[in-house]
Amino acid sequence: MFLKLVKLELFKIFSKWRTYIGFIAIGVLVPIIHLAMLAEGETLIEVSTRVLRSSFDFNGELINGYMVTRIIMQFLFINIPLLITLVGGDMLAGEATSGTYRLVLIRPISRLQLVIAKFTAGSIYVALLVIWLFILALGLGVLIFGTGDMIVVRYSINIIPEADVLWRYGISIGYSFLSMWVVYTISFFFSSFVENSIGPIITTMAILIVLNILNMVDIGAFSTIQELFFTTHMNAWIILFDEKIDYAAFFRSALILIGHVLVLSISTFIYFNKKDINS
Amino acid sequence: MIKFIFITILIVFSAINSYSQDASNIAKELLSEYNKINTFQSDVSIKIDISYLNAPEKIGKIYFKSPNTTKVDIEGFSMLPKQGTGNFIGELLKLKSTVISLGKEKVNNIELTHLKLIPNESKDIVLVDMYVNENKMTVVKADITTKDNGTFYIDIEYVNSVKFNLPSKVEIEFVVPNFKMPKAFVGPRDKSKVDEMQKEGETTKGKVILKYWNYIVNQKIDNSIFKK
Repeated sequence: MFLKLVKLELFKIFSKWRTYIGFIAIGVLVPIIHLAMLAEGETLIEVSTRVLRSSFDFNGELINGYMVTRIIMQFLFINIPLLITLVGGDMLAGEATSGTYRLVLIRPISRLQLVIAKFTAGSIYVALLVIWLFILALGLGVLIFGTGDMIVVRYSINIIPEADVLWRYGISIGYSFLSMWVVYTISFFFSSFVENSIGPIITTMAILIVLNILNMVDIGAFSTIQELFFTTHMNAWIILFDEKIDYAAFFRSALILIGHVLVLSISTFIYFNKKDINS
Repeated sequence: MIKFIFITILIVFSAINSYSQDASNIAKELLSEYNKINTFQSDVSIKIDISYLNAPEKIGKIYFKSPNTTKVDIEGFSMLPKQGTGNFIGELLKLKSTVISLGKEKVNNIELTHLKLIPNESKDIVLVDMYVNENKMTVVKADITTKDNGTFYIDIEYVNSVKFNLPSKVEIEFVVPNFKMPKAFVGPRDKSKVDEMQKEGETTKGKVILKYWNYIVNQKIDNSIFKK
């Protein structure tokens, strides 16, 4: 029964054209970034490694599909959450807008089953979007630029051996899903309160934008507060591309995100179960 | 009195001249030793130690062809120091230089002759300090000062099993500019690490260790290898 409900919700999600905005946006943006890297990638690498070029001769290619994928992920990680809110914000509010809540709930399913099925279907959409991003970024990247050792420029310059790259991307996919799941859960949470999807979409977007701006503030005392923002932990997948992975920091960030998902989703389930439904 | 001054100058001049001639003779003898190497190929490992660079040790093949063609064949990406690969001592000795001996010095209980080479025509190399083991006619230490890329301090250990002056291990120390990522480009997670790096000076020490083994010396190497 529950699986049928999830399938039904997935059918609903993929019947709306707004669902495809995310897929189309990624489908357009990723090849554009690939083309830009094809034209300017060499310059980017040269600038990043300028300090070493006075003492070393560089042999072999540093631009490859792995490196480009990481850059794409960094670019898109700020914007993909905005696309996810389009679907998340509509999950419950959309039913209210179209007046189908009561119609659905007179069927022999509990409210809890319905809300969990909707949450699960939305989560599957998020997972598909993340997988689509990786397939396109990594697949097209490897096709255009090939493979090789991966250069990662952060506060230090890391060169990761080719054999050591794919498992890091494997875990990154899982972590990226977790990050996007938090955004989806927030928009799903707000979606349960209102009868129009614009509100939860705009609210989630506003939270993301405000927290991302606050993350950029560089005041010593502020860093403790920044630690509490989920946006600070959303990009912890980059830790996986350090030479020595700080697993403690990685799992702490993952737990904070999981905590957000649990608190917000359970709150939504409880609220929805008791909610007065008038439409 | 004038006679005394004249004789003193003559003695000092001839002493300097003989020192210089000695130094030139040592340099010539060294060059003839290093010139015995026309080609070589060997396995090589490259390990780079710079505080802000995390790069894996690389293993591959190195090919050298006289006078100064070196090719490193390593799978994937690799970085080679600008000084210290191939038959670099031979190449330094080939430069037209003024050679001065600065006497004997003991390094690791071995008496070495300190030679100073001032290249007359090199575009990049300004000065070379060489420490020579005259018993084996090998250069075991060299400090190479360049015009644009600072000074490279090189320590060399040689292969005992071959009759050529071929290194088994070369350690190269040099100064590199520090890497400073602007704070705006990192997230809050990395700000403290960037802060730490900003406190460090403008430059930092770097070290490269090259190890060589499985030498094949003076056998024809196909030109296509160098064109790859």
